[in-house]
Amino acid sequence: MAMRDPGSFRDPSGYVLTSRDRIFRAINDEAYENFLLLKSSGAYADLRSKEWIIAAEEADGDHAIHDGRRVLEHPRLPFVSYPYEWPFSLLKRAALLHLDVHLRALDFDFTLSDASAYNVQFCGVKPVFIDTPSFVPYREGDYWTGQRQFVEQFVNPLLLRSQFGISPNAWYRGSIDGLPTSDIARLLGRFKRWFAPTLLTNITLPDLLQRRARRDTDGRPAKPQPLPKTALRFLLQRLHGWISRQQPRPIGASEWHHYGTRNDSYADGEEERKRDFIAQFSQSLAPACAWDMGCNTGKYSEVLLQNKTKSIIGFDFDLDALEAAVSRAVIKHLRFLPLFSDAANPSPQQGWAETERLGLHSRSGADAVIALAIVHHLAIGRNIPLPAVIEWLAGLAPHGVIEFVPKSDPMIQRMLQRRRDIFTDYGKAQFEHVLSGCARIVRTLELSPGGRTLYQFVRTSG
Amino acid sequence: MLAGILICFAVLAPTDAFAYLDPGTGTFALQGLFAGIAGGVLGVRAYWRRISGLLRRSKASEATGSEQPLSHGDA
Repeated sequence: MAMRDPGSFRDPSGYVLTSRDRIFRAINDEAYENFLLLKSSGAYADLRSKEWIIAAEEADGDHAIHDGRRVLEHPRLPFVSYPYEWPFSLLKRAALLHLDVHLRALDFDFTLSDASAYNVQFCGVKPVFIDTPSFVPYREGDYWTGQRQFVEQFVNPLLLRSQFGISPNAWYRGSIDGLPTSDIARLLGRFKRWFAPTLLTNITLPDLLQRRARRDTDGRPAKPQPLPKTALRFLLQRLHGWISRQQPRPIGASEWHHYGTRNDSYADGEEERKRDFIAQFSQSLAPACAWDMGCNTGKYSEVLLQNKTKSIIGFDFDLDALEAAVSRAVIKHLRFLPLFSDAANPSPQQGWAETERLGLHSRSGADAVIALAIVHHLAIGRNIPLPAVIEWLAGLAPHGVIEFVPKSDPMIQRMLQRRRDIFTDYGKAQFEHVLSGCARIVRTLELSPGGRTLYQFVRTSG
Repeated sequence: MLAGILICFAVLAPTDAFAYLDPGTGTFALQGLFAGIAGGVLGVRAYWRRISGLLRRSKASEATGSEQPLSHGDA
């Protein structure tokens, strides 16, 4: 039986349904007519040939109609991510795709009814537009209805990083419909606010007019002046050019960015043995989707992908490392999606009725997980009890590899330099005891005598 | 000036098809302003084309008139 997606309710033209591994979209008559027009106009074929939009076909058999509505079927994506989990480069890619799709749609006399960042998803690092009913026929003079939404969900978070070097992810997560323009306008200095044309037209003036409108409530309705198509195109193209030029401003000294290249945690040959262990694990399982917890710049994700893993979702909290991971995926054409996540505080279930946006754990469909050199950061760095860390990691996928770092390791010694060692339960024996309680240890590799050790496991509980 | 723009656009409603999304008074007012400017530019351009078209036509007819005997002569 098809289940309605709890996050798909804002646009009355349609909603998403899931039935086992299949994804459907029930649409009303108007949206169905628009869909047929999208196809007959050539817009659908054109956008599909560019791989800018997700495929949509009329469902057949039992799924053709749902509750009196026509049903479309989409291919299932490996993972649904949210804009507050995207590093800067991915948010920028999604924004540019949105504008590209809109500009191309206008060539076929279609426009987009909204500009939600949640309508963009990623296959690897390639963005794809997923909301078919957003395409509506363009009528000469139409305004860009989604401009405010576009600014709040794409431009403002990008600005926060490019102008101020502030990570937008935590703010965005707390404000899931986007960052308010009034807040960003306050942050911009007077000079930038009034003398940077793109900021003036997208931030300063809309904010000013919005505030005045709130104060002056006695204005009379006036006939809207039609916005010529060339002017609409100009607006979209200018924004496209401006976003293309935005670069992430450094946040500060990145702790882990250079971990992949300047790593003193491993002696000669240790890294190679670690790599071989991971490669063998991947070869034996050939996972369709693996999660890399603490992926850093994606070095070991790449090893998995070179050894029969089909796609990887990586998570890290270091935004500079994530930028490097995105570059790696782009340059090497990897099916690797690096996302922002603090393992000690992963994305929660939130939004309307606390079901609109799903928590990280409930989105896991991974066949395998690797958690390399992350346990000590959670158990010692964040004071999370060791058993809780291991059980959480093993709960993410039925197969996995976890790296244990002993207290004698220089990294932990550095972490404990200015702290009292209260971690009496942190040790190899305790680690093995807890892991054996929820999984079967398949093989292990001690990278150096008494040093870091890799454990491959098969989950037995849950 | 802003008050004027505001009176014109502050209470404009979005078109029905997209009514589920609040476009925001600020961005809508700004696009209205932009529409006015673009409309003006396009109007001037169209007017200029008409004038230049008329001038070109009258010049062309003058030229055709003077060239006719030559072409006859060539033939």
